[in-house]
Parts: sequence; C-alpha cells; structure tokens
Amino acid sequence: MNRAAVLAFVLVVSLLAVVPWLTTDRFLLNLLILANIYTIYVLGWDFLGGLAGHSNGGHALSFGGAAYLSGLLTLAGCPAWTIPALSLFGITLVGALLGWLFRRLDGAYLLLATLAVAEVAHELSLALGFTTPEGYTIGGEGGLPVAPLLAREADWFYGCLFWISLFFLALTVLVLYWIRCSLPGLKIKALAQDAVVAQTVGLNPDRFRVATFAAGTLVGGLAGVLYAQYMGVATPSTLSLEFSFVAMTVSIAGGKGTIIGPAVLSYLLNVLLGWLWVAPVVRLLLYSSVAILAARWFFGRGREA
Amino acid sequence: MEPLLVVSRLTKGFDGVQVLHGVSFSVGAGEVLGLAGPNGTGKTTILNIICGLVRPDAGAVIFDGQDLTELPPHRIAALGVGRTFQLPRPLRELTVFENVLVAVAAGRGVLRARDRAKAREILARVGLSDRELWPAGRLSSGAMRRLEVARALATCPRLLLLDEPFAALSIKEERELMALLKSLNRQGLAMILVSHSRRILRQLAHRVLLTTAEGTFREGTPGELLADGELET
Repeated sequence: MNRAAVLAFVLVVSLLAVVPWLTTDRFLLNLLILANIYTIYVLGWDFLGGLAGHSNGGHALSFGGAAYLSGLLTLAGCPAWTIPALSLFGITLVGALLGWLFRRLDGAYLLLATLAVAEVAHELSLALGFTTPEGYTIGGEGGLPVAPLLAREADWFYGCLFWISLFFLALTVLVLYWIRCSLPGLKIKALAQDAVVAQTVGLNPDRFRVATFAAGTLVGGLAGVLYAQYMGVATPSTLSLEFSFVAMTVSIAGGKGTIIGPAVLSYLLNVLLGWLWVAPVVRLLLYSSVAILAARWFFGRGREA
Repeated sequence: MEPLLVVSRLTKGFDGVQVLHGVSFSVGAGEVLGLAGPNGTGKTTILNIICGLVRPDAGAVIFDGQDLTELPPHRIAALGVGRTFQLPRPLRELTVFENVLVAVAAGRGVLRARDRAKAREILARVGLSDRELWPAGRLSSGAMRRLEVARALATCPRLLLLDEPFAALSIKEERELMALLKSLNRQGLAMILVSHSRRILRQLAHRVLLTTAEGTFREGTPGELLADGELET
C-alpha cells in the first residue's frame, strides 16, 4: 500500500468507527455490521480463490461451518467465552484438511469437490435435529442457537458489535494485503500462475495448498463466528450454495486477488442493497448479472493475453 | 571421481507408447552433456524425470549420491538441480525481478536484503537489468529464454538442465547466452543441454548422447558423432 492508500484506509476506518457515537439507529448499525461481516467473508474467498488461485466452490462451508460449530459447542455446554476461539480453531482445521485432501485437484474438479462438501454440510444442517435437556427440538430449518458473548438486549450491543466487526475487518484487510505483498504472497502468486515452474524453483505446492486453504477458511470462519454472535443462531442458509456464489462473484468483479477491490465492492454492495431493502431473490439476480459480466470481461482479457 | 549424476536404465512409456527403453548415462561435475536426436525420442522426458516432474516406469536417477527417483520436484530443486523449459514459461503476471526473486528465496520464509541483491546480480548477468520491473509476460521470446536461465540460476544449481535454450534466439542473443553458459561451466556448473544444433553442441558439450526413433542411444564426443554423420540435424 502506498502512502495515499494507507491514509485513505485509515480515514475510511476512522470515519466508520465514529458512526456509533453519531447515531444509535439500529437499522443503520445492522446494515454496517452485516457489511463488515460479509466483507470479511468475501475476503476469505479472495485470498484463497483470487490470490492463491484455488477455485473454491464451497466457501460458505467456512462461514456456516464456523457458525454451526458455535452452535454445537453451545449445545455441548461449552463456556460462551471459549466458543468463538474453538469454532475458529475447528473450522481452520477443516480448511487445512480439505486443502490436504484436494491437493491434487485444480480448476473445475476442485470447484466441484469443494462445492460438494459444502452442499453435504448444507443438507446435513437441514436434516439434523437435536432435543435439548429441556425437551425443545432444535436444528433443521430453524438452526442452532449460539451462546452470545455480549448481552443482546443491552443498548450498547449494536455499537459494540459494530466496533468489534470493524476491528476484525480492518485487521483482515491489513493482514491479507500484507501477505499479498510479502515473500509468502509472492510464492502463492507464483504457484497460482504456474505450479510446475514454481515447483522446479523449490516451492512445495502441497504445503502452500494446505496453508492457503487453512487461511482462507479461517477468514471465512471469522466472519461466521461474528455472524453467529450477532444473530445468536446458526442457520442452514449460511451454508447455502448461493452464499458461496456471492463470495466468488464479488471477489471476481472487485478484482480477484487484489484484496482491496473486493473489500470495497462488497462493502458498497452490502450497504446499498441493504439500504434499498432489495429482496434476497433480486439480490441473487443482481449478483448473477455481475458474475456474467465479470466472467465475460475477465475471460476476454484472458483470451487477449 | 564419482559422477555428479548417474542415470540407470530409465524406461518410460506414455499411453502405451514406449519413449525411453532403458537409457543410462552419467554426468560429471563441471561437465556438459549434450542431448540430441529427432523429436519425440525422449529428450525432454529425460529432463522431466531428472527434475521430478515425471516418474519413470523403471530405473534410477542418482544425484550426488542421493536417489531422486521418488523425490518431488521442489526437493530436487533444493538439492541443486535447476532447469529451463523448451517453451519459455515465465510467471507472466510477476515482474522480471519477482520471477528471479521467488527462486532465490524459495527455501526461506523471510526476504533478506541480500536476496534482492542476488536477484539483481543474476539479472545483470543475463542482461535483463534494464527490464527488471517489466511484467515477465511482456518480454520478447529471446528475453524470456534468458529469464528462464536466470530463474534456474537463482536456485543455486550444481546441475542445470537446459531444454533447447537457443531456440528462436537472434544471433546476438545466442552469442550472449553462449558466453554466459560457457562462463558458468568454467565456474564448475554441470549441464545437460538439449539441442538440435550441432554447432551449439560442438561449442558447448563435452559429450553427446544421441537418441533415436528406435529407442537406442549412442554416446560419444561431438567430434565422434559428427564424424559418423550422426549429428546432422
């Protein structure tokens, strides 16, 4: 990041950070909290699919998986303060495992395999139900409740969660951008461009595959943990195919692998579409149109190259 | 003295077509072995097997006393085997400098100032200093070939595998690359050089392994093979 970009970044984050002092409007804060969370989620895909070039068709698994782990840990009676960290740890392990299992897959095969895993998790989330000691049935469409760290009914809940999510968003942008510009980032880009050449200069593709899958899933999982804390519930929609599709679309349209571009586009789209009360089905139509245009544009560039 | 590389009875087939039929040869430290022969007779396959990109069906590759046959390419590169490709494969979206830097620092997690200095030194050596900030995909084909050599040198090889490095070079570029390879060889770098040009093989190679469409191999000095009329390609 050059000096002007750093200043712009600090300015934008500072301006956003003062919002809870200026207003307590829950609609606006809800909009911004969700924009923070969804942007972190998109950045997870941008790192894994954009920068590292691993076409992950099931990125929702990181988000929904972390949310569901929070729900399962709640169900298991874990103390609330341990749940976010344990969920993150668990979903990062899942990411590393997928990276290892799919280390020989690329392109359409990797896309299909990751999509299939996320779909299995989605179907499981719909099918599985639990009965609590109090006799309530939970799970299925209704999802699993998550023990919150913050008191949801408190006046400061929205402001506090906004600051927490903004902090993690800023941290995610900075860390991922730093990786992109560092030596590990250079190696990741080399492997993404030509894994055969990269191997012949001494780079271990398996190690990087596992590491980038773990990191991308960790970032998506961070968003999922924040979402579960915010909503107090993990629902099947967080594992849906549409949700994976949105991450890919925004990343590609924002300039895949650039970190900043997808972050800005995701934030603007979430705030704008939320502000305009755009219905989910219309949003999906909009994202699909963006995907078609972006694919056409990028494909055209690829052919020229 | 023990040879640096010993290749024993390599066989390899692709989809039922046998390409290598038990080829054996060795390369001494500081020696340049030429590989010549018609297209499709396994020259590139031999290089791919040595650097770990292709597994042989049978046979062994021993480099400095270590069996490379089961090792992955990145481990083989770390042991000191560098290579270039028949068709240049620059990392197109990286700059020329980054192409070399990633090879210089492949074994490290953190970049050191001397890594940058070394990458610049190598680029100067192959005559690409003035284009170090160019995206590698924008280089001419001749410059891409020099970048291939630079990237291979950045891995500090003891054995350099060169797959037709002189193809499509201008006379000036060819002369410069020839001078560079000779200078590297004088410093003790061993090479396996795939080439169709007897002129190049005569200038650079100490010995030549000639492959044939029948799967047989002949080995000798460039002079011997030329005298037999075998190096006419």
